[in-house]
Order: sequence, then structure tokens, then C-alpha cells
Amino acid sequence: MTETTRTKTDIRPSTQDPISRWLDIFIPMTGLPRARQTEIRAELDDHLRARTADLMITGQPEPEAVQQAVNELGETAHLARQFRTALKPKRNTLMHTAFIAAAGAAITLGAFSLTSHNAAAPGHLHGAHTTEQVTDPSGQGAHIITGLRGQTFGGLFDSFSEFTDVPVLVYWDRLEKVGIDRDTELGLDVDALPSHLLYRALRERTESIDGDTLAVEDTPDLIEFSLQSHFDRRSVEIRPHDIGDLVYEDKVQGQDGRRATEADGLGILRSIMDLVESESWKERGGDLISARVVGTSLIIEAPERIHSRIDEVIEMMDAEVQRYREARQRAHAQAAEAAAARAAESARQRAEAAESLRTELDKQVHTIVMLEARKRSAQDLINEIRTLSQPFNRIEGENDEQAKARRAEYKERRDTEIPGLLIELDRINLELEDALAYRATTRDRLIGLTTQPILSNEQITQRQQQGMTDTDQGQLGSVRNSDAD
Amino acid sequence: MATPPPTPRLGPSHAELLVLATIADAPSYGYAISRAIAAKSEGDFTLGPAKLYPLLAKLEKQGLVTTSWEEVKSDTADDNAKGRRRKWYSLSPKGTKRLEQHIDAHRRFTALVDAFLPEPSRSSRGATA
Repeated sequence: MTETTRTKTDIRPSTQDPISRWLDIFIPMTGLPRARQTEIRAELDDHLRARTADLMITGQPEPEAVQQAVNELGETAHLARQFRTALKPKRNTLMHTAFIAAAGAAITLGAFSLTSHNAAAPGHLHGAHTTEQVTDPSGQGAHIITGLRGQTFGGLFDSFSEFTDVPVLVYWDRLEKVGIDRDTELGLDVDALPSHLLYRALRERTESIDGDTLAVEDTPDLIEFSLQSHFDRRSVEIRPHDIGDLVYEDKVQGQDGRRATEADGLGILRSIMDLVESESWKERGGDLISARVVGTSLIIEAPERIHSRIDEVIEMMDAEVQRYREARQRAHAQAAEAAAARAAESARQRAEAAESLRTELDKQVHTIVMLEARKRSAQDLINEIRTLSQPFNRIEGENDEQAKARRAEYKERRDTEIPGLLIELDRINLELEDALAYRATTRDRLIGLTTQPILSNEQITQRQQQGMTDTDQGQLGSVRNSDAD
Repeated sequence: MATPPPTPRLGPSHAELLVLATIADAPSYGYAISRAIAAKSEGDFTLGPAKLYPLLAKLEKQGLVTTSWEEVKSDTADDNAKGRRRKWYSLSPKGTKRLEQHIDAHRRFTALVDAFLPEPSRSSRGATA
């Protein structure tokens, strides 16, 4: 790796530096060696600042641009796992990888060779087989290894040295513990197998009573064959596994997630113990893996391959939990939608009922106005008759004769009309009392039904212009005040 | 109006092919690689940072790319000021071989699939003629 210095235009957001704060949180989550963490941090820092600068050029304010750049990196725990997965040694598929490398090199390997599923070998070299492959661009291509019958472990491993640029180291002393030496035959009763099945077959063929078996580990510089227990012991490390997404309730209907408890973490840990090498955990009598729950992390001491399995299980759990949460959110959304529809229907019905009551109230107000008018008219007439029938009452400009005749006339009217008018007045009062009581009931029902104004200001003004009595105006005023309350 | 065909999904193997092909001509860095892929595909392929950087780390680990670091500074920055670090990727000889295999496999695969497809219709050929 070389270091050079160039000068380039650079818009560097620096206020408060949220990018550095995000990296401070993210980088330790990768659980990678410190040197690798430093590199990833520098690279992501460069990416985030370059992306932020680009977004700012398009007119986004700096805080939004930084937020978008960070959001584009996705969920932090997932990204950390992606880095771990990319950088982990894939022991379980290494032999497969090595075979593919060999096929890529297109070298004929005596009695050991590769060919594709569907491509016929075009010829033979060394009296044996010819390497040929078709790689499925989807990355799912299968490679068939031929020439297996009669092959020895020594021959198999030597072939790797021949067709790869990478040296091969075989720990024969360790392999002897599971009964393998250079001359041990693979013991396979087939001549050809897909690479991954060959690896599986050899692992099963070499598995000892205590479960130890052949394993392979490769790096760009070396391919090693030894026992699984050997690789496990030398790759043991302590690493945190974030389970925050699993133990925190996500936000539903604006409610903040509840705080995770230790019991939540222990529950997740027990599930992982059930799923990943359940007999190897020290808590269950094994001697390989130990774990503690700290906050929303599992601190686990285990070989690298176990960490990778745990990452995969957590990722699966994350996916399931996410699906469950999405389903629950959909159910919440549907319930909220149904509730909103019910509320809208209820509001519509109440509005209809309120409108009907308003119409009824209008009629009652009109009835009351009419009754009040009739009452005033009857009272006025009674007062007039009584006044004009008084013995000493005289109207201005009236002579004695005229006064006498007028009093006689009104005395007669007093005797004949007033009893009828009083009865009419009683009846009007009764009707008015009923009408006022009915209107009060209607008004109370309306107030109970809706918070909207029972009578608008325009309606009240109209009623006042139509000669409403003080009583009516007072009633309406009280209704309006009730609305305001 | 006819519905446009869906944008092809970028699988892991294709992503590796595109990244290797992008840096085959000249060394590049993560963000520039991502932009180059989006620009060349007219936005149909987007390789977001969440996929790109782990992929680049994997390619480096496999020895398919070599890396170097540069320090980038603002034009207006003080000469003594520390810039940020940028990681450049170049194709290694092993990566060149892998790219050739990818290209060869892709072309053979495409040719095999093409053999099953009907000839383009006369009208569609006429339209482009």
C-alpha cells in the first residue's frame, strides 16, 4: 500500500461533525481488527464527505445532506455484519473456492481435474482429464471435480500446490488423529462430485468420535489443511454482537420503543445457543464458546467461524423480527384506518342528526317568536280595554258625552272580551312554556351531539332582525355561550 | 402505452464484474466507482455504499485489487493542514485474470441463452434501420 498526497477541491462539512460522531459509533460495531477498522473508517469518512459535498452542490442544506449520506449506508448493525462477512475466512467453502481457482487457472492436474456440469471435456492430457468450466454469471455455478476414485489425500492436497499460486500447508500430524495420512485414499466410491459435496463428503469421511474433522482455511497468501479444532482454537476471539434491533420494540403509532431488559438479551442468547453448536457453549457443559449479555450486546468468546454463524443467525432473526414488525405495523395501520372510517361515519351521522336538530330548533324559535307576539298583542288589548273603561279616564280633546259613550263601550267590551282574552292568554302562556321547554331539550341534545356552533352568527343576527324577544335573544345567547365553552 | 421492462437486478457476481471492469481502465476510489456504475448504466444499476464497500473489502482480501492511499485537501486549505484519506483501487494481475474469466463466462452464458431466443422481429429491425 502506498501513500501519496494530491490536492483536490473538497467541500468539507465540519460544523459539529456528525460524520465523525456516526463513525465513532459504527466502527467498533464491525468487531474487526483495529488496523482494518482504521482503514474502513478513513474510507467511509471520505465517502460520506464526498457524498455530502455532492448533495450540498444540488442545494441541500448541510444537515440534511449529511443525514441522507449516512442513511444511504443503511442500518448500522447490518452494514457492520456485511463488512465482517466480507472479511471473514470462509472455511466451509474454502475447498470449493480453491477448486474454482484451479478451474480458473485452467491447468490439467493428472488424475485430478475439474469440469463443468454441461460442457463436455474437449480432450485429455496426461492420459487423464481436461479442465473446463462454465461459470454461471449469477455466481451460482457448480464445479464438478472428477478423477476422485483412487485418489489419496496427499495427491489431492499436492494438486492445490500445483494449480494455485498460493502455497499449501498440510498439518499431517494433526490429521493423523482422525486417521488421515498422505497415502490414505479419499475413500469415495464415485469419480466425480460437485466441489461443495466433495468437501462435505471428506469432512464426514474424516469425522472422529468427538466430532473433530478435516478443515481448510485459506488466505490470499496460504491454504492450510488441518483439524477443525486446531483452526477453532487459534481463531478464538472476544467480540460484541449487537442485538439492539431484536430486543427493542420499534416505534409503533408514535410510541417510543421500550427499554430492553437483561431478560430480553438472555432470551436471544438462549435462542442462539440452541441454534449454533448448542453443545459447545460453556454454559451447557461445552468448552469452546462463552457469552455474556451486556446491555444490548452479546459479548461472545468463540472461534471466528462461530462468530460468523452467530452473525448469520442474528441476521435471520433481524429479518424475521422485521417481518413481524412490518406485519404488526400493517395491522396497526389497518386498524387505524378502520377506526378512522368508523369515526368518519359516526361524525357524518352526528352531523346529519345535528342538522336535523338545528332545523327543528329554527322551527321552535319561530313558534316562540309567534307565541310571544300573540301574547304581547293579547296583553296590550286587555290593558287598552281596562284603561279605557276606567270611570275617570278621559282622552285628550274628548267631551263629556264622548267620554261617557267611550267608557260604556269599553265597559261592555271589558265584560265580554276580557274573559276570552284572559283564557287566550293562559293558553298562549301554556303553549309558550311547552315550546320553551321543548326548545331547551332540543338545544341540550344539540349541544351534546356536536361541538359545532348550533346557530351561526348570521342565523342569530337574522333572528334578531326578525323581531325576536329579549327572552329569545337571551336563550340564544346562552346557547352561543355554551358553544364557546 | 407499453410498460417498460423491469430494471435487471444486480446480483453479487454481476456487482463484482462491474466493479472490476470499472477499475480495469484506471484506478478509482469507492464513491467514484459507485458514480461511474450509475452513470454508465444511466441509473439502472446502483451499487450503494452498503454493498460496495464490503465488496471492495472482499476483493482486496482475495487479492483481486491492490490499494493505495492519498491525502485529499481543499484548494484553500493550509499547506500544513491535514486532509482526509482516500483509498484508491487498482486491478491486480489476479484481478485481471478474474475479470477475464468473468467476461468470458458472461459472454458464453449470454451466447448460450441467446441461442434459445427468437430472432428480432422484422418490424423492430426495420425501426432501427
